[in-house]
Amino acid sequence: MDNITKKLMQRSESTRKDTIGRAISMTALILIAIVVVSIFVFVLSRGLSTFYKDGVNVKYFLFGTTWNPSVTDPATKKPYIGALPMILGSFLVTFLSAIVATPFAIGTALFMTEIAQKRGAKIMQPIVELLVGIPSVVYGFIGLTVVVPVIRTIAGGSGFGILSGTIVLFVMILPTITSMTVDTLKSVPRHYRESALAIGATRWQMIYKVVLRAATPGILTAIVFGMARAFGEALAVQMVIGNAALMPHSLTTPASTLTSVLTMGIGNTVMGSLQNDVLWTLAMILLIMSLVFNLIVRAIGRRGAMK
Amino acid sequence: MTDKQEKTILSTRDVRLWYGQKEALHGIDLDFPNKGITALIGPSGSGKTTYLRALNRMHDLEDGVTVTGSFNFNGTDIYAPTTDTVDLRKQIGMVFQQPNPFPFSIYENVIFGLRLDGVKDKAILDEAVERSLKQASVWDEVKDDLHKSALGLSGGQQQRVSIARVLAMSPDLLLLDEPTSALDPISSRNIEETLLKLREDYAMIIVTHSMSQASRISDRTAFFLSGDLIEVDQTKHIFLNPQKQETQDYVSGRFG
Ligand SMILES: Nc1ncnc2c1ncn2[C@@H]1O[C@H](COP(=O)(O)OP(=O)(O)O)[C@@H](O)[C@H]1O
Ligand SMILES: [Mg+2]
Repeated sequence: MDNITKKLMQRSESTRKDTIGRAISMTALILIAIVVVSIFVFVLSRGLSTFYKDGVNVKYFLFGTTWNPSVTDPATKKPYIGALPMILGSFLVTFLSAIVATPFAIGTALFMTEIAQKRGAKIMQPIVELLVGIPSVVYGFIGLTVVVPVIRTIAGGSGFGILSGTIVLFVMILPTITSMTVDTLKSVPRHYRESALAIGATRWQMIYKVVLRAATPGILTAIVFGMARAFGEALAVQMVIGNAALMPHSLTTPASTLTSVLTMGIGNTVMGSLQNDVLWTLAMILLIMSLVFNLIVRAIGRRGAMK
Repeated sequence: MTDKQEKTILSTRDVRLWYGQKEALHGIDLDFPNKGITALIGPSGSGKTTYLRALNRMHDLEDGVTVTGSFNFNGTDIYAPTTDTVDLRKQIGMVFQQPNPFPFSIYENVIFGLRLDGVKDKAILDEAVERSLKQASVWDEVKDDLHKSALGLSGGQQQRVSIARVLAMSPDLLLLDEPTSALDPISSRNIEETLLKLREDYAMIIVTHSMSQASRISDRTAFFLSGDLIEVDQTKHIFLNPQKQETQDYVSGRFG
């Protein structure tokens, strides 16, 4: 009896291991949290100094249509730092590429999961996974050597612009959206399909009225993920969009995005100067937008779970 | 059950089924009357589900399943190449082990099949919802929440909504595969009550692992063992006076 009591009072080996394991994962978690917080603090403090240190009007920055930080506007005695052309450029390529990619992604995913599971698993799955892993510079290079000349031939002009950016991004986010949609479709419980068919649904009715409906939150999440990737993509876009910080009046004239201006400019400015601060402000917008995409995904998840 | 002559709604002869090379059913002959409940009992793995799913051709969905034998349903051959499985499944409804309403509202769940048929008239749909939910004895509990998600209901209510969803199609035959095994005892009793009421109007085949359930609700009982039909008779005969030794052993709890 006493022996048992003694044993119970002692910390067992497994409890000790448990404690150590917990300590390790807590440490890792805290480290990650510190890194994330520092990034935010850093970007925010830099990005906001445009407004409080250099005294730039927020509205002027967000809605100004001229971007030329090295030239001073005689009217305001401030450099031209209207970021609207890039903000618009970023949103345009993001939405356009998502709009084009979504139907293709859903179609491919349906083919892989509902119509030809065997071939889908054997052929399409590896292709999609491969496409996800291709570095963006490769997409950009192909865009530069194939897409831009084709657009130039068809639409005239230089071929650089929103349209070329959209096409390249479309190809880039298609595998992302597709593979996430495939996962969602696969996670639709088998019994939904069975009971739809058992009630006299045709295969197509089952897909359309049950599977896709049940998968809607997951598909929306996939689209938002694709958009987040498109919004944050720098290299490939920069190679085909033309990098002219002009208001996009046409899809086939050179334009720019937040990321392309950022990567082009960040090496050419002096830390602490207004020219450098405004780039941080662009980075801040990117960061905030990725936060927004994240929140949207969470909101979709919560609404989906409620149903 | 009385011994008055009844019409047969479904008659199967020499039903054999293979999963790949493995024969899972070894020639099942069974007839089902057009009213009342037939229970399929037997130890797990004896082929009850396999047989049931052959009746509305659910095995079509899987690769590598071969079915032979004759299936005469109201004069039509279930496995004839000309038989439309979509129509067939509207006439032979199926309720599964797991309550599985779709992630839609209760209302949308019940009219799912009617919508597939293109019924749009709100009055008809409303009427079907009320009638089916009443038949499934769940109307009183959900009538104020028809437009809330069916996934918010308890397991027992979900199962009765699943039954209502099938009843809305006015099937001629209802297949139920262990419809209460995922439910608590009280919900199970509710489902049993529901089935007993439906018994007057529908032909039902219920797979059950519970012998007491079979004895409470079924008119006839068929005993399956290792892919063979051992014995089929009126339920009271199977339980009180079985003809075969295996049946005797099983119902007295000596194995299974
Ligand atoms: N999809 C399947 N593929 C291969 N074998 C199966 C499949 N489903 C059932 N079986 C086998 O068929 C036999 C009968 O199973 P089942 O009909 O599910 O039995 P029960 O419903 O009586 O428990 C079992 O031996 C089982 O392993
Ligand atoms: Mg079974």
